[in-house]
Amino acid sequence: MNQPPPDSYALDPSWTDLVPLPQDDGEHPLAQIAYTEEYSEAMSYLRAIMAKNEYTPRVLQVTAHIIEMNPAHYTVWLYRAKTLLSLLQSDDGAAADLGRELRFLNDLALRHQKNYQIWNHRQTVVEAMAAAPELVGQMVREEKQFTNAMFRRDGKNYHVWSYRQWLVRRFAAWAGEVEFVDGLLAADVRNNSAWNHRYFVIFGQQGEEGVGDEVVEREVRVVEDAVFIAPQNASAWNYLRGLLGKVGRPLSSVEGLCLTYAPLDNPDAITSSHALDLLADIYAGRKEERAKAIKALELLAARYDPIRANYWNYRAGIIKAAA
Amino acid sequence: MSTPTPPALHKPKHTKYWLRCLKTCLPTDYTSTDLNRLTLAFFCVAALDLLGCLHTETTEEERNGWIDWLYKNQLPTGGFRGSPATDLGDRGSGSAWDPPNIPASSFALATLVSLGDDMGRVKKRELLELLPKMQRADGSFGEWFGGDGQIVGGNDMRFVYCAIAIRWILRGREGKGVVEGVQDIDVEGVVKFIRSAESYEHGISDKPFGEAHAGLTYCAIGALSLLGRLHPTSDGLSSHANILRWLTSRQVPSLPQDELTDEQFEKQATQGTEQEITAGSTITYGADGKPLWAGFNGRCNKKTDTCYSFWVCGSLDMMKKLHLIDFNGNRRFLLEKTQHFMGGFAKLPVPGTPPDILHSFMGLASLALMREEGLNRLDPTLCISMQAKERLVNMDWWKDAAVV
Repeated sequence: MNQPPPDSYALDPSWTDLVPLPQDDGEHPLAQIAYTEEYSEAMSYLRAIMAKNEYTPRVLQVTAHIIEMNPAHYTVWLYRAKTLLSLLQSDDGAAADLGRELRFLNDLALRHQKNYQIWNHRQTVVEAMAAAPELVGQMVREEKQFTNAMFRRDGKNYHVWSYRQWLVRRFAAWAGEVEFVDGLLAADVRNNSAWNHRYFVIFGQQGEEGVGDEVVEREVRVVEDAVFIAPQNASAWNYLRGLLGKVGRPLSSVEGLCLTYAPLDNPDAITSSHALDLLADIYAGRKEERAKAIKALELLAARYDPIRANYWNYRAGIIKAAA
Repeated sequence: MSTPTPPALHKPKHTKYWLRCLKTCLPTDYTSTDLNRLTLAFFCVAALDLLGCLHTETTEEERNGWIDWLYKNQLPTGGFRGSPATDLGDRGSGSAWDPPNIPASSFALATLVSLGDDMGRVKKRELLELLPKMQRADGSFGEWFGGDGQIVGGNDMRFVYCAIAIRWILRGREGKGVVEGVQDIDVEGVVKFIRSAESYEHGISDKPFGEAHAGLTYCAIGALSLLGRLHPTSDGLSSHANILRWLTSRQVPSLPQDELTDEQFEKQATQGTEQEITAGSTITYGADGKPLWAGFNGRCNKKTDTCYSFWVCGSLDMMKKLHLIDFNGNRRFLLEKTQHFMGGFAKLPVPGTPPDILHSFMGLASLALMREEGLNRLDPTLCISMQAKERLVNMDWWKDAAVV
């Protein structure tokens, strides 16, 4: 753990050498905040020690204190990172324990789900740890485990997903990622972040040669299974569009699937507005079937997705104008 | 039988809310935004400007005092700090720990314009010269400048938008402002970065392969608009048709279960009767067959949130396609589901959620884009009132002077 903050910096012998630098808010300040005395005092000492450009173990103490009260304080994080890295190189190396730093971050991340800075700092720490190649495998496993723990609380946390992608790419840790996504989608087939990660895993690591036909077939089957469970799940249909676009297959290759969920000749049996939307695009591309496209869009506007009636009518207008 | 009250914007309450934010101390809870005080200041000033009472409910002396305060947070080397919290006074003069911050600089300029300042004291050249130093090789921008040439902070669209807004404001009409001898940013690099962050869903994300996100999409479209690269035939986006589908898909009908807290929802899902669960996910339709309430989410299959009513509507307005959304559904979502009885807007339609500065501004801004009666019109790109923008573009230095 970090050394706990002093009850009072002014009275603590390890801090009395510093002259605190109180905040000058000026006259007519905007967006003034009712700071606690504890925050004001810690900030005054932070400013004082920053002004000296000091990189000593006590910097870790005051920065941890500030971070606890304001984890979105941006300069404090870089100051802490520079101090850690500087201590690692110095005789005080023992004061900078990167494993302890990660545990500090774990605790903060769990309590401050929406914070950006924690994850930037984590990248810095993990990069520093990667300087020891023999430890990288274990570290990456543990990092994946921690992000998994975060996803159990919120499977759509943007910062955590961004970090996971960075981790996987940085350490070429692609193994097991598809199975990981399979697990998340089994728990919640509407988790769009998991679908997005799937796309990243399938297409993010390939070179110029692209993915093989068997992968494309498998992914189409994954979508088929997903929309069978939840026909109205936009995430799965969007993934299908993305997949087909990426590998250059025409949308018409899934016309049959769409008709299963949106039988145009039997509107009462339609169960997916997204399938209708896809059909509208498929038929709009065929001159002789534009009437079917218009019909799909009219069904969307009037019955299956009326909140977007203006949009569906706009689409129909474009097709009519082209005719 | 009483007739239901028609939804209305409670203007006096909002005015009161914003005057309180502007003139009294914000609660301790705002400590986590301490380093973004110039951003908070922008929301307070711009909100009163939208309400049309910035110049009537505050005195000239107050406004001048706030202008001076903003300039006090301008660094001698150009650019603005995020908050007086990093001001190290004489001891830290030129310190890397009191850095210029890109969002703060952008919001400071917008606030000065809104307050009626002529921007005569803005270190325009220095700030413009800072921008290329803040740009990374991939075209993105950092959040702040960490001394020794270090570009710090995440590399997502928020900072791209802010950097481009600064550039647009300071360069003036067709670059007739302060450009002489100033090295420009890599514009093609910015466009390339935005294109690289367009996801397979065709919204914009934080980086290649990231998840499409409406806030980041707004920032990207705003940057393209200010760079003159948003036209349908331009190359800033894969296609307008693609992004329009994604943007319009963000509007979703309200469900009764949206008004539950996470704990209540969990309880209903696990212990509720089948009837309760069905009722919780039933859309209410009006006589016209359309859902009565429909706000916006920021990502596919996420819940509605007040701020996305602005991020999505602002994006569509810049693309001249705002008419494709359902105005009534959005308006009623904001006025009946997230407008707070004390003024301001809450983030979520969950009863008991307090209003906050960000969401209170975003709610007003979304209504202003839909031309709500009683609100000034909003420029969707700069996010300031049309009047404020008019003042800016009519300043001499902006129109035709090469000011040194």
